[in-house]
Amino acid sequence: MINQPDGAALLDVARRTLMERLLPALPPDEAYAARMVARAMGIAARELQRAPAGDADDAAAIARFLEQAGKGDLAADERTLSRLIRERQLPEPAQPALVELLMTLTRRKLALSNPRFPS
Amino acid sequence: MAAPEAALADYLRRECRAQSVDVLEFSRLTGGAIQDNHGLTVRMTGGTHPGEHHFVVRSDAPSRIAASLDRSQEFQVLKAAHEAGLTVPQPLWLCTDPGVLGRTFFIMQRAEGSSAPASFLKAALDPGQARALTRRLGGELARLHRVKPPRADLEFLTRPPEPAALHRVRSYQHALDQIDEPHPVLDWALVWLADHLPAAHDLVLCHCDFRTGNYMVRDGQLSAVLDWEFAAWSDPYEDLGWLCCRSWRFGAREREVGGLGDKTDLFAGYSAVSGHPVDGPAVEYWEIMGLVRWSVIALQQAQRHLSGEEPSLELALTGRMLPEMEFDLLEQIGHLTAASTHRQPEAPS
Repeated sequence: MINQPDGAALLDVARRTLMERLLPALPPDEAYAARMVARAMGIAARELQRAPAGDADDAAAIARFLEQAGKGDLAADERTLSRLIRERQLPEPAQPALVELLMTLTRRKLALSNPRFPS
Repeated sequence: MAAPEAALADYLRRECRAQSVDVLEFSRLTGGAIQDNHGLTVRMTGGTHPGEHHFVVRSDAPSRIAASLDRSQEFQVLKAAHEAGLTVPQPLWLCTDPGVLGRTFFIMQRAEGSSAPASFLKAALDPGQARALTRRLGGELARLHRVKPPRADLEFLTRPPEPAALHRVRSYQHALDQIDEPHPVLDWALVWLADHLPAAHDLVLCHCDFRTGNYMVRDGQLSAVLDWEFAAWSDPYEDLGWLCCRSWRFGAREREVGGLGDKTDLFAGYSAVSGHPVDGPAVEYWEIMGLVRWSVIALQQAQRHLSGEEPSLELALTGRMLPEMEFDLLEQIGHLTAASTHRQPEAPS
């Protein structure tokens, strides 16, 4: 078992140290790199907090959509969606549900990579 | 090989038939994966250019993106843009002799100002200046788009073998095929783009990277349009769409033209020079194309990190920007689809 504080908590406090103590002391040319480091740490921390339940949620949402679209026998992942869209195999009535699904998946990715987007 | 300062002084002495050339300053301006830019300040006596001059020396970087122009090609494009009356640094001399700097370079006048979006987008410009600058950008593009093929001096520029929009859709599809990670939103956007091809326009000289970040502003006014290495013969709406694309608004999302101003002013500036009204829906189509293009570029940049070819935090993080472009695609295409159900479908072109 992992001792506390865990990886996500360590990344969080390390990120705050970087932003609050190190960044003001850095020459302006290096500030951009420091902000990138902070961003990478933020993404990694959020991923650690989410997994693995989030992946299961995505798969369940895709499975529900495929079932409705009459493609319930296919693997419930983004690769399947990608192929069906490209090959235009999804019937017109499934389009609104498809757009809704794609937006749901995209919002979940944003919650990890940039929760403040699009504001 | 001599130090670059001495080599450049010798080169200028020959080119300008100067009696003497003193290098007062020579320093790196901006780094890029594609080219190196150095500021060069000289004082010359006699010859064609006596006096003190501020130049930029732009040379090929050791590695360059295959799709971009090399420096001698970019020099020709810059000359054509300058002759067409665009606000660009005046191109002066091209040197293809590797004996001078070890690689091809050209020298142009140095424009003053800043191209960093943060330096002029937020608060730094008053509303009147922002409107005038937006209008000015439209005029610049319209002037550029008066340059049309064939041109013997620009014969190296690529020309799409089919309507530009269709060609872009196919090449982005092909680029996505090379990337293993699935991106259903991009596939979906490409299907939409293929199903909504706009009427094609005659090919014109396009900048192909005309956006906030690639032009310089000084005292609230345009001082130079930069970075011509992606120029190509294309549909003029590609440039207008790229400038308005949601990805280049730098936090000011409500200002559709590069985070700077409104389309009304951009289109007015364009029309005043071109003599034709701007087709708003065609601009929006090419904005969607721009989002897909930037997505493909971002994926390719991430790939350079992932493959180990060029480990880089910046390239890695660029790959994680994809959901932002995908969100914008879903939202913008959603708006367009909702709007089109309220009007008659357009006749196929």
